[in-house]
Amino acid sequence: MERGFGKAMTKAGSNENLSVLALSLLLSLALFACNAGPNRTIAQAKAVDAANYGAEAFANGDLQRAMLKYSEALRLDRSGDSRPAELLDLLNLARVFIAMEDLEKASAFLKDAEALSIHLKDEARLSEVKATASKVMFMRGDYDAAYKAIEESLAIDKGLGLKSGAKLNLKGVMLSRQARKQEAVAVLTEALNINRKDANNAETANSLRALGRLRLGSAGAGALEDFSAAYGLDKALGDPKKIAVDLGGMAEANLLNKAADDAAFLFERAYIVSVSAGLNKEAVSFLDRLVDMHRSAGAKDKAERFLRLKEAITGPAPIDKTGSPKVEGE
Amino acid sequence: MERMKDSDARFKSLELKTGLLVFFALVGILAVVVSVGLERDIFSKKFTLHFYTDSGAGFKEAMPVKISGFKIGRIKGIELSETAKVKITLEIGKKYQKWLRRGSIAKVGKEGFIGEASVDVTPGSPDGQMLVDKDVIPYEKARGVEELVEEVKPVLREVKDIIHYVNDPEGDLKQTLGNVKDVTAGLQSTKARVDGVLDETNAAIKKVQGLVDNVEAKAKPAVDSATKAVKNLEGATQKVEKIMNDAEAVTKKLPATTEKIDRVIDNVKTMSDAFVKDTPRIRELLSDVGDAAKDGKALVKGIKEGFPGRLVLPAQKPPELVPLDGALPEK
Repeated sequence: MERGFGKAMTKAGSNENLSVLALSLLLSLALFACNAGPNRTIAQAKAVDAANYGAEAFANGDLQRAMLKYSEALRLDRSGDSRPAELLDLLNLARVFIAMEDLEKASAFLKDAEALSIHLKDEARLSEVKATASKVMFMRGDYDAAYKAIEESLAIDKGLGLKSGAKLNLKGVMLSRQARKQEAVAVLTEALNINRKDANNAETANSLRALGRLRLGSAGAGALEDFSAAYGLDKALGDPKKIAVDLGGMAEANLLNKAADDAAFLFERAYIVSVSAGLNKEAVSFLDRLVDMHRSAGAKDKAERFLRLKEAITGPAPIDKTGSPKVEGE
Repeated sequence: MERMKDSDARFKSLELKTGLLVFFALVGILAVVVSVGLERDIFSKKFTLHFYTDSGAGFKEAMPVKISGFKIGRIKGIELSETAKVKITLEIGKKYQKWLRRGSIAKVGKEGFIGEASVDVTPGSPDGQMLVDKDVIPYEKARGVEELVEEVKPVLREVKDIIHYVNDPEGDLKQTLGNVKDVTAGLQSTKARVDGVLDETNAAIKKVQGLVDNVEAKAKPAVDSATKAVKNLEGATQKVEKIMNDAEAVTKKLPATTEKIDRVIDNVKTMSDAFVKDTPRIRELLSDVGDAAKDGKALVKGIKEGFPGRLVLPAQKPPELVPLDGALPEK
């Protein structure tokens, strides 16, 4: 059989026409294979690169570079009228600006994103836009509108069969601020389960922190455990703002448990983390707690020490009626 | 009866005498009338002028009209015009017409503060046209006593306030005067103290004099050191002079150096001229290089995305959504 096959091949090879046809077929196949990649323009490829660089910068905490790269991606996608990509860029820019605490720019991008997602009939993206917008509204103090937006987002997700731990976290915190504690606990517990299942450590920490805060309000049972768990996760993720908040929460829980020394130590650690990360507002709030604590305990020299540290950040404090410097909140 | 009528000498030519008496009486009366008329210019030629005023108060018919204090006429009539203004008609002797010209103004004047009122007319411009019969001249209202009193009233009030302020025992002026009095009284005792201080100052000056003498004695070595330093400075100055001479020598060499630099600049210029000439070619070259770069990029892209490239190079990851942070800021 092999000899027959070989003979047949030799005969075929010796036939000129057949040889040319076979070669042409091979060449076409090769060309097809070479060309069979995703067909993108150079601008689109550049936009994808820019967006990926932006994501990398955001993950590294370099918000300025993330903003620049996403802006470049948006410009390139808009120049090619790539609408789905443009929608993604708008949403990403809005989230970057929220992280930069520039709520005005975030709102502007969200407005464009909402219009585009409605036009593209992209429900999933619309849900993301509404959830992001609810966060912006909450940070601006428009609590009613924020709650309405997060409810709309969750309703869309329900219709799509999706569940988002991050969005449930937002809803839970909003409920707790409305003093609807039981509902808040239920929502945050559901969020915690989803986040743990998805192995989303950042959102798991958010759920634990929010639950801890709720439990602080009701005599503190379980608050210390929640904050400690959140602290462990946030420390692994390296977010100083959240680490400081967790430390502060642990301190408050210790105060409720009458462990004043532990509380003072933790408040001081929270201050050190904040001031080292350049979070002056947070640092000052922890110093105020320390001054307050030590004054109540009669430790005037310690209170004075923390007051001096505060003045180093904010400048000299105004004097109250007794002649002592005022502490914020008094 | 006949006898009584003709025999008395006193009755001779009685009718003639009576007639003569009557004649001379009439002449006399006429003379008086004429002289009075002449004196009052009743027989002289006149012309009239008018002016208008808001109020006729202060005017009366036959009020004299004067120019430079000399009577030239009188007010002939006072009447109300159609516009409810008062029209005053002046009757002025023709012989005074030459002094009344365009620019003449009528105003009410008085001889003294409470003297007789008259209408004073100013002569007007000598170049102006002479006024003629029935011309209208402007009237200037003179300020009466009432206006003066109104102006003086606020001044009197201020004077009253000033007097009250000066006399006020609790006021600044009295208090200041009181303070000055106290200060003056204090000055007497101060003078005595100042005398004492002056005596002490004299003693201090004497002490200072002694110190100065000491300083002079001690300063001598310092002055000597200063003199030495000056000598050193002279040496340094000589060195500076030497340096300046060297600098001068360098400066002399500058023209040659400058010439060399000029030659270099010329060479650069020649080169840049050649460069400019070749710019179109260079532009072409750059364009070719750009095209080649584009082709290269396309080639690399093709390789990356094509079959051989995809085997060795990692695929371009599609962009992802930045995760939503479910944390909200503290209150």
